[in-house]
Amino acid sequence: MSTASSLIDEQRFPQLASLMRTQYERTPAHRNYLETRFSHASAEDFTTLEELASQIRQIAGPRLGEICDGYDFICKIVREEEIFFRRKGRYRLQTFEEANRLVYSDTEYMGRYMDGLLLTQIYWSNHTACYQFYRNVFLKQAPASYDYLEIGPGHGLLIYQALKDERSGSVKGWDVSKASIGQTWDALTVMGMSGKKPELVLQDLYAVPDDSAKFDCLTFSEVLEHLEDPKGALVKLRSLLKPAGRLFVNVPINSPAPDHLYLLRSPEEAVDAVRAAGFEIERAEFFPMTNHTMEQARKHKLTISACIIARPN
Amino acid sequence: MDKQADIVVRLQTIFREELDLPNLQISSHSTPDDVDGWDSLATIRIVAAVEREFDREFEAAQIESIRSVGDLISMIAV
Repeated sequence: MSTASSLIDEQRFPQLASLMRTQYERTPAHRNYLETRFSHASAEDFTTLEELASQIRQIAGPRLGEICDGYDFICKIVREEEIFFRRKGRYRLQTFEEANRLVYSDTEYMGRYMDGLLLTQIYWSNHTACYQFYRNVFLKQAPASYDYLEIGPGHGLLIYQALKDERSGSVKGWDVSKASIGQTWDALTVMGMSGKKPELVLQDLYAVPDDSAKFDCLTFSEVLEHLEDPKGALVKLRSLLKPAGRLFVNVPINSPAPDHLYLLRSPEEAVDAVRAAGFEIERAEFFPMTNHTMEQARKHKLTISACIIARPN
Repeated sequence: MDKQADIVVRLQTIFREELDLPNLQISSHSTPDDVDGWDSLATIRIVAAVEREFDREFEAAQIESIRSVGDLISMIAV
């Protein structure tokens, strides 16, 4: 069988087509699922996917094949957590100490996990939709010369959008992991920094002093579910915003993974959690798991990504 | 009804519910390639429902090796 996608126009979307060829060569078992995913993509989606594929191929460099193997790895470990979730109705781990001991401290495991996560931006439609919402709604409506902070910038794809936005002022990223900061820095270096100097620092959100600088835009994407004290984090985020500042939260519902601690059982629970921390909701959108409708996702307790834009009330 | 036929009937109810395909007809030869929506995560949901229905718990390696309805029948019938 050809390893080319039958749904991607190689002339218009060469980066995406090439990526999928590599993925299908390395892991043919994922072909049906991913081709079904692309069969639901709109013309706008394909434009976004081509941009993401270009960025991911830059970040990957000569490691693209290895990163495609990382996608297979992440699917395997998610399946392991999924069976636990279906049997017990909860996530396996409860504390940050457990996650640190069993997951974060295992460098080799984390490397493969992060590689796989990078590709989910393209392969999982809810992840792509969150990226589009962040860029087209959250960043687009930011004020001129906005001060931007992302907590946990990870693969760097979101902070890169702020960095290359000619309307952005200062761009900062905080993380509790030195390795993650290095990864973000490397990603921004290969993608280009548009003549700006992002400030990436080791900083624990919970330890930020109250008189810290305030921001117009705060990005908190796929972090909340990793925390033992999500409420405390949201309250802290509120204190980091300027009076008219805006918070972008992206958090998955019913999404078992080896390092997920905070289980939200509906998108409404996520919205309520943000509201309870002293925010008013500007806009919230929910995106169901790849190849499923929202109705199916709610009925079967499948993963839904909740994207919320909020302001301090 | 023999034991295998009984298992297939009960499995069919589970497949219809988990995949939202009320008219689905399965046989021991059915595979993910010929059942809409049967991906690897759906397999997990189906297995969890099978475990509840048949009061069994399967090993991770058994679950990973499922390639057809026949594989599930074999696991249940042991």
